[in-house]
Amino acid sequence: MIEFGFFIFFALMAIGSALNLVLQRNPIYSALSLIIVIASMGGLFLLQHATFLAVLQIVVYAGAIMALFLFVIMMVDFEEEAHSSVSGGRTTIVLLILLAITGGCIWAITGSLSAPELLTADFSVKAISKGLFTTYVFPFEAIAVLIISSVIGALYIARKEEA
Amino acid sequence: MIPQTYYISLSLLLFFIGVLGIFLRRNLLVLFMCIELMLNSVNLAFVSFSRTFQNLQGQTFVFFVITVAAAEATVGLSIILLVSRLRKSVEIDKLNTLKG
Repeated sequence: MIEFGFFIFFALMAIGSALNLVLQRNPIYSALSLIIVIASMGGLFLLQHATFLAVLQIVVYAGAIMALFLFVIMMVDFEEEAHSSVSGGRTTIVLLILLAITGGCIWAITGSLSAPELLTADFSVKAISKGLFTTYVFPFEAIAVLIISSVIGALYIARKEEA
Repeated sequence: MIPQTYYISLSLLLFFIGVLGIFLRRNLLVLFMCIELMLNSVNLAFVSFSRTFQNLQGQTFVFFVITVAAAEATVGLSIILLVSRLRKSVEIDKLNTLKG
């Protein structure tokens, strides 16, 4: 059952790195563990025959977005960040509530759905791009406008004041 | 074949770890990373449902989610950069201009 082995490997890596992201004090280490979460998520996509998304996940998320994060971490001043830490008091309460919710949800959904053994649908890149350029052509164009405006907005927000 | 519920459980768990981070941490950058983590866990749920129902629409939506996350990351990170330039800090406890 090699597929199950891969699933366990990626899942444990994702959960461990996500916990490390939350509990780590230094933002650099948080960013690095987020990269590991994203990479293992790409592996999980691959296990479910979503090859295009796996590649997209690695290239766009791990490659571009996380590089952006690391650059910003580099530029942001962390002088006073030394004892930035998990804030005390409500930690245990929050943890307990979240554990209860998680456990309840997992219990509720376990054993209700399972995927068909064989992949009958066409999951190829060709099929996805066909959908993007026919059914979803309007959202696709809207995304282009969104990206242009976000680039312009980011440049405008982060510029140096000249006055 | 891995049951689909395993994927959904994993996605839930990762989402709640992200929520936990939002509750516990006080650093703007780490909060932003937790949001990215939650977006990712939702993507995993989308993909696993797309696999279960043999339907490509879920994957198309993940494509859109990833592009919107990229746009959001550029604007959010530039706002964080601006905040750190103005306040010399990215602790959310120190951003109390509105007396919240």
